[in-house]
Amino acid sequence: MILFAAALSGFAVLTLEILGVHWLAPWFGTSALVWSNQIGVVLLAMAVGGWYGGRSAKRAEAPLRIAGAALFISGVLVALSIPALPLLASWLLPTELGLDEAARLFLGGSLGAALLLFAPPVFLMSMVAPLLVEARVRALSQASGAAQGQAGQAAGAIGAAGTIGSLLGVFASSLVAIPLLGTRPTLMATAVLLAAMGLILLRGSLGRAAWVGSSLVLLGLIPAAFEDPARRAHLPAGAEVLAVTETSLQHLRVLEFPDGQRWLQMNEGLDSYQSLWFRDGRRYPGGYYDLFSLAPQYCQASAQQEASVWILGLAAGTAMGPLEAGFGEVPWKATGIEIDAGLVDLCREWMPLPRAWETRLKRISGGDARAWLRAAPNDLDCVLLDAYTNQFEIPLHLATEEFFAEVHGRLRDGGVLAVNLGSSESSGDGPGFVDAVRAAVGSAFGDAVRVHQVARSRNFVLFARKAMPLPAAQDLQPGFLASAPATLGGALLPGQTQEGLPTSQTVRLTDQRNPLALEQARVWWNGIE
Amino acid sequence: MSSGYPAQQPVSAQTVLDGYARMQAGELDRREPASINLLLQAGARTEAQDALQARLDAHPGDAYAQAVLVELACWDPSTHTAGGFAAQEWLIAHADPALTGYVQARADFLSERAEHAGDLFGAARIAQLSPLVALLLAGGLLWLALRMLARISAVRP
Repeated sequence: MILFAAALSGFAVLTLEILGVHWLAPWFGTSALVWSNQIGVVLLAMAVGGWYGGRSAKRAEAPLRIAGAALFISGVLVALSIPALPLLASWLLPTELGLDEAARLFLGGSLGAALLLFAPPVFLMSMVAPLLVEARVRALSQASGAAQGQAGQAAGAIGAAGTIGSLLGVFASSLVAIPLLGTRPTLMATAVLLAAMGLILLRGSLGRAAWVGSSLVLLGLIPAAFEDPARRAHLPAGAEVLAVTETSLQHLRVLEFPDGQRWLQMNEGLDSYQSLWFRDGRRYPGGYYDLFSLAPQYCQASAQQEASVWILGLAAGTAMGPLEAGFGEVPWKATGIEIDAGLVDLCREWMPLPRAWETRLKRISGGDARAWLRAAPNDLDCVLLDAYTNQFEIPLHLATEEFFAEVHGRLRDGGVLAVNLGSSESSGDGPGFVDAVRAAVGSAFGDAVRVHQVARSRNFVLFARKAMPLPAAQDLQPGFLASAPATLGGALLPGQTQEGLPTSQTVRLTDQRNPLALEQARVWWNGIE
Repeated sequence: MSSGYPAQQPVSAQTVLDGYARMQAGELDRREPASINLLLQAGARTEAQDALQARLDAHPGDAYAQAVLVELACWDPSTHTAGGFAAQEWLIAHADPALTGYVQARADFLSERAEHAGDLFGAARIAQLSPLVALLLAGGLLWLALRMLARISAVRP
């Protein structure tokens, strides 16, 4: 029983650490900084809890009872955190904020939420191991009559049990519990297990009234685990929720607006989306997507040969429309990589592509874009990078010199890379995120790099061409330009275009050292100031 | 706030590029409302700003140019505050009935954004302080939990 209790506390700590981030994600995202906050808070609580547990063990008459009480109370606190988070999040993040505004609040907000919701239960769970060691040492000493060597044996056994529990917590939570049960039911199940184990260790020392009262509290909280407060969290004005699902990677929802437009949101709310869908299957959905139509034009694909495109970060496949417009009469096919298989299923159901586009597209889901790219042929015409995680961060390993060199290796001569860069920087912020990525791309592509600013937004789309200069605007096909929206023409004008490599010094983005997360923190912090 | 002035007809990327080329060649005066409107529709902020500045250089205090500068200020959150002041100044200094509604709509938008920025500042302060507050609350919660723990785990005689 002692070893099982140790394993359970290890399991619960890791489950809380991992599920905690998923649970916070619909409000605060899952950026590297949010993860750092969560891991930091859990480790701090573990350290202080372990120290306090050891101190309690030294003077405890009945260490097993204290361990039982700690597990029981931690279970109640975990259960309470389920209805508490939405309330706390709505206080920390007012719903009327835009994403670039709210992003500035994620750092402090997620740290505050982690401290309040997760530190106390983890502290209590971490008290358990030293108490169990003490109980086991006493039991072994009584059995053998000698104290020598018992502490090491007990600590080893309990440490091993706790570590195995942690191991189970890591894999079970992300690979089994989230896809099958969901975050909140898993947290509630963990809470119930903790409370039940606590009661077993207490062995009747809990008074009947306390036992009944706390059981009622726990039972009363169980329905909260099956409601989804994130379903309507930070819902944009006029939007209706069509579908919600939780995958092992993220919380997803599809929204519909009165004009029939649909948005795919991942771990987000507010005015942000990861894919757009229109009932009429339009080629130009607007925003930065429209600029992806320039990639086929810039690569000057031949009408005699089928062009091949890889889309890294496919989501619902919104980029297919602009590509269709950009290729015009050129035959083409696309391979779309999407890391989240659950997202692909959701989009197929709620954001289906027109049949003609669907027949061009081969979807690959469940794997990382960079890993899959290594399996791509080395004569691609275009690679589109629109992979975002945590609402607005390009995954770090998809924004390094080495990665862009790999993309370069997969393109034919004249092939084009297009990258969507969402930035919350103002023009006065100086060289920052966009220039850093521009320089990293340039390390592989030389100065055949061009950045277009998207009209009336802070998004940029970067293009780079292998072994050839990028065509000038006047060299694009007149038929293409005649049917493209005015804002695409605006993006091609010199005021919205930056050619070549950045002139000022930028940070280097490499696999070995990638300060993008710090860059983002700087932008957030500047935003608050 | 994306509409230009006067009323817009949908144009293509080709029209924008052709129009800009004609402005560069001097065939089309970029200071004229038709040119400026084209640039606004294209979302070409830099070129529109340059054209408006050229118009102001030629006609200092020009009501139209100043009105459209207010529109440009609406496009970027970092220029909302300055745009709000410019809109108020315009409404005080000019009484052009054709433009007043246009500027007033943008002034209303910018004033709403200014109010929103105030809310955001408050929210940012709360978010900045929340780790400290949460630490104190977490400490209080733990103190309560440990008191409960002592009561629950007490060995009964």
